[in-house]
Amino acid sequence: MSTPKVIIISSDDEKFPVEQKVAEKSILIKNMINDLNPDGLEEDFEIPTPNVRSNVLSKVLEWCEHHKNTVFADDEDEDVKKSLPVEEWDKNFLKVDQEMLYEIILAANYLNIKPLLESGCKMVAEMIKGKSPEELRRTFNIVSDFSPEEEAAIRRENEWAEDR
Amino acid sequence: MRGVNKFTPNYPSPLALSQQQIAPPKIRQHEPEPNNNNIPPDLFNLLTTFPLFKKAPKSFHTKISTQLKLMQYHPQAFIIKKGDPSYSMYWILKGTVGITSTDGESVYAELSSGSFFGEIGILYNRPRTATVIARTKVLVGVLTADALNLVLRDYPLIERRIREEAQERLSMQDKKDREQHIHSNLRVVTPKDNSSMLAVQASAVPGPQIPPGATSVYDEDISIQEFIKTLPLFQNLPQHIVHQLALHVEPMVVNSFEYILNQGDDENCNIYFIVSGEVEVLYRGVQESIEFPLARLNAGNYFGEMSFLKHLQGVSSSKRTASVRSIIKCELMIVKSEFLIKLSKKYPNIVEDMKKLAEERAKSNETPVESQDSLFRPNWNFTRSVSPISRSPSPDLRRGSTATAVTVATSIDEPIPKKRKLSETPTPTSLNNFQSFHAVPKQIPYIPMQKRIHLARRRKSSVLASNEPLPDKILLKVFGYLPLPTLMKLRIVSQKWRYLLSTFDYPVLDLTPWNTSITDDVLCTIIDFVKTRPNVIDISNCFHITDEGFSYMINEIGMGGKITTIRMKSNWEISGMAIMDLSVPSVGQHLQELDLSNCRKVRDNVIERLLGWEEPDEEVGCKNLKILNLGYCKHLTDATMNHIAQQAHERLESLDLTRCTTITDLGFEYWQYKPFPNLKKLSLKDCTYLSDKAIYAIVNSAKNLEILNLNFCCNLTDISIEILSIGCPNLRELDCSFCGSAISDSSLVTISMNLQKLEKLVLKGCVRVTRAGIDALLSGISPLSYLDISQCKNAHIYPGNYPAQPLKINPHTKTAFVTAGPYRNIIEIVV
Repeated sequence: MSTPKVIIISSDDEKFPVEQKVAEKSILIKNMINDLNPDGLEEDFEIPTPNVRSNVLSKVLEWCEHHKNTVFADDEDEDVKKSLPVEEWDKNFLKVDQEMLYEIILAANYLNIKPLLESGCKMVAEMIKGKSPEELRRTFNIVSDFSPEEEAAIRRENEWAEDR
Repeated sequence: MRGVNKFTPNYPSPLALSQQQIAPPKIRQHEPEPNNNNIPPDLFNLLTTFPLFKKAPKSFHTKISTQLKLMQYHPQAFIIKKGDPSYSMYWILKGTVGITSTDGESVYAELSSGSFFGEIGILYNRPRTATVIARTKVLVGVLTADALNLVLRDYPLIERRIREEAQERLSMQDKKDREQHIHSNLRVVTPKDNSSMLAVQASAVPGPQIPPGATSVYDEDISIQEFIKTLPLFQNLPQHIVHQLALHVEPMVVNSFEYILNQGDDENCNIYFIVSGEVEVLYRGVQESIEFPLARLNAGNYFGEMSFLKHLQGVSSSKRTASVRSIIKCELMIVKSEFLIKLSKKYPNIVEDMKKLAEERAKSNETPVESQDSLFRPNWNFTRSVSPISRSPSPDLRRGSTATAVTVATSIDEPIPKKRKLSETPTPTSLNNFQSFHAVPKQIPYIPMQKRIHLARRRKSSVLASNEPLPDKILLKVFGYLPLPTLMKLRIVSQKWRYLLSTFDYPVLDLTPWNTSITDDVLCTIIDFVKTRPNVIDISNCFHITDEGFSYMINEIGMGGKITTIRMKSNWEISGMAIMDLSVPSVGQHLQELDLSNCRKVRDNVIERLLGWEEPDEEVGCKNLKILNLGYCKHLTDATMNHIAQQAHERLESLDLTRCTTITDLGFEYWQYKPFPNLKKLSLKDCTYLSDKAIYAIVNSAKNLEILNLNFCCNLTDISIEILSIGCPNLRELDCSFCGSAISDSSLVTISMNLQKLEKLVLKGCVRVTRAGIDALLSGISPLSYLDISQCKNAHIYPGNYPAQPLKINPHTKTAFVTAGPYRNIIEIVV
């Protein structure tokens, strides 16, 4: 008998059978498996993820597959992790349109896949860095709600920051 | 006295000169019976009534008076100029001065004889905040900062009081300034709901309107601390808590007939104390359209406690149960609920008292006050004068007040139903509807323009919020990866982003990447952005920062927040006085780590104050400070070492004395008889004058030392290494670079036989070392993993010039790896 698989079901009912090791990159899924199968997995195990669409889920599982043997450092050194750049493979992997990037981030957040969430957020941070306020408003669907006076006041406070 | 010279008028009149000549000669500092005959009795009286000195003993006044100089200015002479550094403060004996703008065009205030000015400047190291010009011929008594400090040195208690008081005044001043700023720039006065239309109309009454902020909130003579102490609620608090409280309160001035609280609001749960004036508490029943007075409160009373108590009990809706409106012009003091919660955890009786009062008030609300009518009438008449309606309101009012009483009785337990939304149920706003206030007239309420804009804006953004691709939680995570300047720039994107950016966790403020561009002004804008969030502050190498920026930072972040670490390497412009302000208990109690390396103005007194000392019932200094870097503070002497031994021997964990060349063996002798059980790390790098005696003292006191740096301690001998090996068995890292006279083959043998935890040893430039010593080390009991023998030219031969087996050195890294010793661990050897 082959080893039992974990079958993850997307919101549009597509089924993704993956190795347990791959699925367990998601702490949410890992906890589910452990809670419901205290003696280990004996047969295929289905898990619905009602707020992740199939094209996003396949992307996320691609990431899990690639990193199935990666050991991620614990959370202890938050500061060091913050300053590290995004890993090269993740960078290329996340070179997707913005919509997709956001959905991957949301899925990673929901499924509790910290390293993917971090990479995703760092990508967004990188994207934010070079953009003007106008561009950012467009990107994030925001309409400026400052009066011209308020905006001028903030600009004055930002004089130093603008040159950095 | 450079301070005095600094402010001498450009063209001194002959009279001024003659005055200076008759000024009393400076009397020696410690003269027991100072002769103050030369000081005019007027001036002496002024000194004793100066609020900051009021509580000081007479001997203090006498000493101060001996330090005073008399100076005369003639009309139109500048006494101080805005922006100049502060060196002195002044008491006016004769004449009048004007406090003016820099160009002297607009006069803010005039001061005449008996007044004083310039005190915040010297007590708080701030540049002058205004210009003072002599209006008439003026005779002033001048006290320089240096002179004041000289006297204060003998009165530590008074000094502390004065500093606290000055700090409180300053923080109040800053808050007032900010308030004024808000008033003039941003604040749009919008009534919270239509019921306050009464107030709006009332304030339209022509009359002497005093612009907010234009008048002083607190009489300069009333100390905030003194006021707090008179409040029964806070009577039993210890001094330092009162000080903290004084720093946390916000001032507020309301003119007559203005709303302070609106029933149904739940913006905050702050508590308001009345400093002066009188307010009335108003209540509006669910079905009522006007409000009825429940009570009047005057100076010394407080209100807002019901919401606070509910908030404290965890009731989610802590709406205001009644409105509060001023009767006459009032000065209030606001205590933020967050602070009060903290306080009440420590001092539960505050809450108990408050509960009692709340219950009493609730009870008294049940029984209608007989004088209700007469209480209300003056206000009514006042209102009526605006819109002439001749209908007498009294029957309705009486009915209303009984109805109110019933509702209020229950209101303590259950929150008042949510206030009606403007758009849904228009309520009567006009006074014409007084009689029929039970019917709900279909009438479109008047909403002021500003408020309409505000509402429209809010509605729009709340719709958009759902359109944003990332939820706030994720957005905050993204912000966490962005550098400070970017975060500041992002504020301009939208109100919501600005709000998120101003609230998300920002524990570490590291300005070192931008060190060369951080001036005082820049620092202030950054502080205004980060507010009290950072716990760790690194302004190392930001050498443009002066007292002004630094004090602002300490005030803004320190007072409300919790600074645990400050790294300020090479902030050499910052004065000792400014650094000392870290020792104010509300700031200093959290401080654990301080790096003052290369702060050139640090002297013994700064360290003494920072470490603090014992005093009955008093907290002085940073009692949790345990990691201290004093490298390159070349003015420190053995007195600092003595103070460390007396006050910090138990808590000190790490001390860096790199190149403190004026600290001698004597300084370490003070350590000899004090245990330093927690001292793990000590650096004596470049303390070239220390001898074995110093090491002997260290071994006696700091037995748990783990990391020791003796780089360039050229005067040590083998004896030092021997006693270290035996006395400090926990050493993990030892740097003996260029300790040529201390490191020999035999001292290495001692190390190899004793130091069971040594992992890292640096022997750079120790020329007496030969391969025999290295072999001993490698086969000894030390679990070494790193050994530096670079520039040890004899390390590759045995004594007698016998060549040794060469190490396999990687030519790129200049290191070799060997496996040796009882642990067979891999040792990296730097050659």
